[in-house]
Amino acid sequence: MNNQDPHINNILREKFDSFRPVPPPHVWEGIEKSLDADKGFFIGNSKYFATVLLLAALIPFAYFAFDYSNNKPVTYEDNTKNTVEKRVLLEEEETPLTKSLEEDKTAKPVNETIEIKKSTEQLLAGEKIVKTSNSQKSVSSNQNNTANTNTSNFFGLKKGFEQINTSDDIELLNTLTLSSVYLAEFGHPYLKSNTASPIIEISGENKKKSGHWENTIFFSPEFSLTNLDSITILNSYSLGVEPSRYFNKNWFVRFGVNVSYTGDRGFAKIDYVSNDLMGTYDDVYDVTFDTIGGLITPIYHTKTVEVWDSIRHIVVSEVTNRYLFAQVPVLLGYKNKIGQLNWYAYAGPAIGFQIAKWIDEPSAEFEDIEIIDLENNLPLRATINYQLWVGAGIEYKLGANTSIVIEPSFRHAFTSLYSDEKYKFSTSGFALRLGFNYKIGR
Amino acid sequence: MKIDKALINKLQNKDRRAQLAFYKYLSPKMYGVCIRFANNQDEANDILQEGFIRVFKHINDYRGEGSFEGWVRRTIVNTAINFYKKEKKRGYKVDLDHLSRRHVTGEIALDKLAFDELIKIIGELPLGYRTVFNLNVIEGYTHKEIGIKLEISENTSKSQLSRAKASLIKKLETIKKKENIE
Repeated sequence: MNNQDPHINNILREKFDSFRPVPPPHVWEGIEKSLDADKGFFIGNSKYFATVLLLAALIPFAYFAFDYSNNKPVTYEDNTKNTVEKRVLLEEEETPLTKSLEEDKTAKPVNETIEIKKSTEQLLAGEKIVKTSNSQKSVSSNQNNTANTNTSNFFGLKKGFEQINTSDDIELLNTLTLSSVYLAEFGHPYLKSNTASPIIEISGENKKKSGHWENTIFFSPEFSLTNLDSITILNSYSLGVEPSRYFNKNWFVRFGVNVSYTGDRGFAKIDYVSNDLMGTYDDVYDVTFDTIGGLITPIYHTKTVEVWDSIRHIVVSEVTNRYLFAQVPVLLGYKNKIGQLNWYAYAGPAIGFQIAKWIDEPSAEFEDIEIIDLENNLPLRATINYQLWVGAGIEYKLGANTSIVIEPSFRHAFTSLYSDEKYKFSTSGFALRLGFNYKIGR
Repeated sequence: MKIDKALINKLQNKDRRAQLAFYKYLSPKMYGVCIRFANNQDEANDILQEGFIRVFKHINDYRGEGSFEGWVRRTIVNTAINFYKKEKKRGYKVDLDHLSRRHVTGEIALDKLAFDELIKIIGELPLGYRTVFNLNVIEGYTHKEIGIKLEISENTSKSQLSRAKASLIKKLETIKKKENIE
């Protein structure tokens, strides 16, 4: 053969070069899966995460936009009516202070400065500070200044500033007054130790502007729509907690986690042989002849043959796969009032993570069968799916901090629910969400 | 389909559509290679899958020297060799005695042989012989290269090839005899 080697090798090479069998489709699926896994969860789904991150980034933006960027000062002023209740903490003899001091960090109008000086003179004269009354209010010339504070806050510091001697002290007074407000806002321990209650109590109206939290517990049945005949998406049931952050009385962002129990029903084709014993018969395997009473008589030699069912049967088996998903939405919403009811609407993306699955094994419902081929036509769900949530709801108040809500919502999955390439299609679902809502920190 | 620089660039950028198109174009040819090396179809599928995953993951290692198809083929063959090594670690032994040492000369109508039969014959060769045969005869590796790749000596490679050919000829003769009888 050695002499023929080059020739044989060439023949073999040529033959194998033309050998081009088509690989089975699952090979590519395996490749794709591996490449997807390698991409990494965050890189592979970057556009969806970008959406979520963008929305998450909008939360602080919206917070500032609604609360602080509208040039409306956060007023702790009592120049009008009793919007701010002042508490005088000095326990000594009280003397009315006829004029309150106002401070503006950026500009001091002349007449305001005069007022401050007058007040200082009164302080120097040994006057004690008392709670101001409406009739004794000074009218500030600069009502629209930002970051207005009242000097009564300063007196929350109780002792240490009872004597103010110079104009420098006025400056110090101004600075500390402002600081005391900030300290009070952030609950500084110094102030807490010196005051039985906050120095200033912000009126309800102003408090609303700083936003609040609400928490809602939802239960929702959902039915899904699909355009595939071979798969029935079963109704799903969700239970979840969704806290909402209100930037003001209208706008809110809602997120949270919903645990959803869902399932698919489909069919599997089972090709099997039952090998059942169908019966027996006597098979003649030989015939001999004998003479009995002068007659030639054939003698049939038989053996019992068992007949087994060796025909291939095909049966269709119903298969139901069940899953547990955790759904994490980030929703932006708007709320308003109609009479006694609140109505609201929201929209945003949601990510569903598969946390458990129960996969049905197709069965022919017969024992002792030999399965030759099994074709399960029910695809498995993808471990992650992405949806767009749109919904609206009505809130009925039960008490000051509690309410019940009812929300029809629509969800559209913009990636396929299934991992199988053959089942790349989008699905939608309608849910009726029932919730119990309670406000936090009011 | 043409494998050009634009396609390679797309593959380097992990373009999924380009990857699928490239796979569809080249997988039948590479699958043929895998079948020759593998013990069975499942193993061939695994080699092909792992081979293409390596191709796509390490595509940036291709420096544009030589044919891209050749680079892919080498990657697939290397994957098949890794499978061979795994098999070897699991206790594969070369059975030297089951083969006839008879050296046969004479013309063998290889070109007339049905392709399926040829694949079957090669598939029946012991793993070590088959691997050496494929690498040397079909892929064109030298015994030195085979020795390095399979971690065997050059002489072992040569003797395995010789036995592989002997075995192959014996099988071909049997087929020829059968045909003559019929």
